[in-house]
Amino acid sequence: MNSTPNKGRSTGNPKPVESRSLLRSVFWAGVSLAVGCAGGIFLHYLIYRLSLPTEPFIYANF
Amino acid sequence: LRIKEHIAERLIPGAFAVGLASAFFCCSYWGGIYSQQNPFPGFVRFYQALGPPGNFFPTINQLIALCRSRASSTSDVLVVIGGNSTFLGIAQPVDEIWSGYLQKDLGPSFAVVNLAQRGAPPTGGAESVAEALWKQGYKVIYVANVLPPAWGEPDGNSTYDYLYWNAHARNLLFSWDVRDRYLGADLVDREQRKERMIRARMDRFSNTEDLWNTLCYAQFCTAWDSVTGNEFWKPRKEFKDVAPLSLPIPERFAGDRVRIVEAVRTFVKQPGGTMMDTKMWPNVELQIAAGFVPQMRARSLIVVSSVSPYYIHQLSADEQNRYASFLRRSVGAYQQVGLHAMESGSLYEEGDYEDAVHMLPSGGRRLANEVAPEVRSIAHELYAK
Repeated sequence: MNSTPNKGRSTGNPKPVESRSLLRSVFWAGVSLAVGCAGGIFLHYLIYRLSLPTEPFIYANF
Repeated sequence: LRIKEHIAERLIPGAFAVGLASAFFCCSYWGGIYSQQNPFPGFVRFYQALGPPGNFFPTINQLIALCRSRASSTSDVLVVIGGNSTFLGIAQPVDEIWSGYLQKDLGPSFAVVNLAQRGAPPTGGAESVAEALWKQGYKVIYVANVLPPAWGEPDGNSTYDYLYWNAHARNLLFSWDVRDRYLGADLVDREQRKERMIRARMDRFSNTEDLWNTLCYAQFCTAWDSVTGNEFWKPRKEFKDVAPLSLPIPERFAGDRVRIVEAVRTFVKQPGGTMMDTKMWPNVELQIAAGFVPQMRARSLIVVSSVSPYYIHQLSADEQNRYASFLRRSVGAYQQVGLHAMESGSLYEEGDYEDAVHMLPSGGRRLANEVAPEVRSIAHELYAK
């Protein structure tokens, strides 16, 4: 019925399933890394923002 | 919920942690690189957008790098200027600023850098920069003004003390047990000082302030402030340093006359004036002794600034004499611990001032003429210049 070979599950060949799941893992590892990077930059920025005063500087000359 | 299902649950904790840590350390490294470079090319002074009014707080590393970039060699004498808006040169256009005249008077073997800031005392901030530079082997002379009775705590005041604590955390300053004891014993600002110490220790390793400050000056800013308003995101280098236009003398001083004269009277009135307070002077002397390490005293010149003569002339003759004595005693308090000190401003013309404390270019010219021989004399004595 299915003339196209190599759909994995039906043929019982595990290789394509493995490569697809490997690709998925690499993709999510990349996404995790990117989200982590964004979090690292945000954390760095957050520490800087915490150092800024919450009240504005009001200058009175005398 | 969807984000949680589709993304958060599929994230790989190990990769996330690696990304988080590596980005944070890259930012810290980048900040460390920036901290060694002069971040403010063409710097003349801290204009409004480039200081606390503009929510911009230059770091100790940036100020040190700025000063180092000005000395063409280590044989040059770095003249680091500190103090408040009088020395900042508010009311003087950039090309007529007093520190520019001072640079011309002193000549090319001196490099004058004006680090004075609005409301800054002579201790802390710029003094920490000068102390760090001297510790690093530069020939330094520190010149700052004080408007008594704003003597300043040994770490400066609440706006600028982060510079002292950042220098302290990076081991840039000389150890000085009198200063440490004074700061440790002060219960009033204990909590704030603890916060500053924690902030400084964190920044020592993360360099957050160096990185984001440099980006704020050169690329983009992220913190809103009332000076830049809707343009808060613009890099600070794009803002102009503009001095206000001056009014003729009666209009210039009239609006503030009663308030300023009454403020000066609180120092000199008899009885009850601040300068008559028997507890004040020992405290002032202790503050000064704690604020200046012995290594810096011979190379520091403190200029005790007077209120504009226009307001002094509104006082009675007795009050004027007592104010003059108040200034002399202030000079004496600095000289007593080995600092160079002088008084300035009370004998200037009324027209040399823009308001109670800020000088116009004519006053700035006179100030430079008075300060230059003192600086030359210190340089001759210490560095054989």
